[in-house]
Amino acid sequence: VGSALVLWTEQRPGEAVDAATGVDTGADDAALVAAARANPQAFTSLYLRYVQAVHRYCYLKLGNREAAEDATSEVFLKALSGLGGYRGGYFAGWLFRIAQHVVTDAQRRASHRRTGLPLTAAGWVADPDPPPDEAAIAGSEALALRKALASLPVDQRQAMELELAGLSNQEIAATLGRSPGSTRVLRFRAQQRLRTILTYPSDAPGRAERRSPC
Amino acid sequence: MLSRMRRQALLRDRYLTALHNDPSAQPPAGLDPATANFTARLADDARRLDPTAPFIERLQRRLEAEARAAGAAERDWERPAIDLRRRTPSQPIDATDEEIDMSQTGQPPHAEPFPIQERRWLREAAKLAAAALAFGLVGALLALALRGDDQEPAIVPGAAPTAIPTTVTPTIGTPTSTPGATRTATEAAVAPTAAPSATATQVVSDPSAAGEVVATITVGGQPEIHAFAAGSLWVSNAADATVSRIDTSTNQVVATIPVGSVSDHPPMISAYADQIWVLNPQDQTLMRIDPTTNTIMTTLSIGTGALPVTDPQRLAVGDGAIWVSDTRNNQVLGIDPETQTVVAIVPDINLPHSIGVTADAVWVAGVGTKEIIRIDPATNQIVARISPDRIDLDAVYVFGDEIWASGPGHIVRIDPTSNQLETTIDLPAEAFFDYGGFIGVDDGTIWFAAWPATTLYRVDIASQTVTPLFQAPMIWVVYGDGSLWLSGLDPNEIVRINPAR
Repeated sequence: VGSALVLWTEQRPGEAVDAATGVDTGADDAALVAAARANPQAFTSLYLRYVQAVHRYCYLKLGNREAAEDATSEVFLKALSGLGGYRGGYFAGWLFRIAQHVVTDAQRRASHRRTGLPLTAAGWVADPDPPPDEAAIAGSEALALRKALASLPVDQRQAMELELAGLSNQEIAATLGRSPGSTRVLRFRAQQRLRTILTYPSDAPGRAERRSPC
Repeated sequence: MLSRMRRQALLRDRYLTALHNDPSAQPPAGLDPATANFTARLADDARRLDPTAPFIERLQRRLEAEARAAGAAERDWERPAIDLRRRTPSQPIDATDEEIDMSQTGQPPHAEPFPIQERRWLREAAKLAAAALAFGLVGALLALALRGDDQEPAIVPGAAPTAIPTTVTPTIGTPTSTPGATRTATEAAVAPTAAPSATATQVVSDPSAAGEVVATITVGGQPEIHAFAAGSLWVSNAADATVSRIDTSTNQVVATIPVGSVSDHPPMISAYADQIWVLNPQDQTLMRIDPTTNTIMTTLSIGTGALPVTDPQRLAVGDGAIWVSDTRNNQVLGIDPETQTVVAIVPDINLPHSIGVTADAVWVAGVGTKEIIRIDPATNQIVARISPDRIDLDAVYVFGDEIWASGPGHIVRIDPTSNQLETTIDLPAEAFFDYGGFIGVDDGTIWFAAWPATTLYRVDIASQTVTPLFQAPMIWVVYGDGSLWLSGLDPNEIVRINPAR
């Protein structure tokens, strides 16, 4: 596991950057996909590269760790099975479309049970006993973050969810079917809007300001 | 102003990348300190969502085991495909089971999809035409601006005052003067800045906003509505793995039929004429319900055998075949309900999901494809892949001979003669319609439940106006027998509504 985490931090998505243009080419993913197609056991490299991002995304969407782990497992099992039919383009875009489907299915099931609803529907929940993990993070920044995201317009929310998962701008653009330029501006506007919603009262001024070289 | 925003956005991206590699990284020079501070805090929050090391290791081991199994399993397409001899022992009506022999495949599969080179030329021509049109429009707008013509566009007669109209071209942020963006006259009339949110329009929670509530019917737990057949509505109850049969003439439940194990994957139902079939994804069984006795007359196990189905998600019954999306095997199976043999294996469909059948075609949407795939059931070959520019399609719905599909932000109708889109409805952001949405279609009107916005919308197809009707925790909607049938408003109820137009 230690090596897995090292691999993640050293080769996170977005590192295959064209030196001249600064654009993420996704070339390293393509090589890993080709290797995994030739030998399914090589899928481990793709898994290690994206498990953190997929788990973050699922956790953000589903609100508790157990559901996030179930969904993450399902995403990678589907991806392993479907890799033969993957037709190119950004691998992250393809992988996160699977993740979106899996999460939507999980939310649909949760909505039937009236638990674990997306926060956009939270006003409808009469749930006196939230899941333990949800209760554990109640009041934390993670829950505040989910609530703040739920108040964003859909396109901004989706972009920010993928950003928080750790995807590069190119990968977010590929996942959302937008141009990279418009995606970057969309994300910037989203974070500006989040700043008006999300406050960190326990830590002002923020650490980045304190660290700023100027 | 915009260039400064782009510059800040670019610097912020660089800082994000640095933070991913080093949580203590310093912001780049030139990045607004407040933005840098907030970006760092967001990155901190995101790290709280990381998986645990034991989970990473556990899932890695599971994937490696799956990969080994996948590498070991050689698929011989010429062999008999599915051993369907295994019965489901828990079925209470085993005595009615038929003898099952599905050891023979009808036809070998055809892996090569039909090449559709012509469509590329059509697409390029369309792009050129669109570019020329856009150029012309920009010129016209400039000319109008220079003339100082500030005349408001006309309001579409009859548009509902609270309607959220559709946008022709997606816009970002405040669309008041975004270059290149066009807006419908209705939008300009009722949404001068940005399209109002569902909340802003104060959508009510009363289902009577959709029409007259004529019946509330208690069924099993967590009902989902699937099919009309034999004068009845057939409802899958996910919480107790049963099927409720509702007589649509009396609005009474006339039978409740057990259909296997309870799981997070609710049973699916599809019908053709009086053939009612149920797929239990958890048990990986297909069950045929006899509508004369309301019992299961046949149970087929599709999860075992030489070519086991893996993760079957949807089914569609047509004339002469049951079609099943064999999701994790990237294929669709056709099974003859009479002979109970596999008659088609259609590969090369990436993670197939929703599926529908018309008289001469099978329509499939895949999780990984962003397109609608058309299969010719006469040859069991893929004859078209419908993937319009800039529209991702990931669900398909068949209503009689009408083929509708949806994807994020769009509902479209497919012309089966040309395999092109004949209607495209662009949804406003609030009505974002991802794959979890469900639709019902009547002549000229669509009702759909966006997810997770959990609002029921009505679309007038001719004017393309989208009107929010009401909100609920969860809405599953179908249209049939002149009514809307909704589930999800209550954990155990189906609501029948005669819709207002």
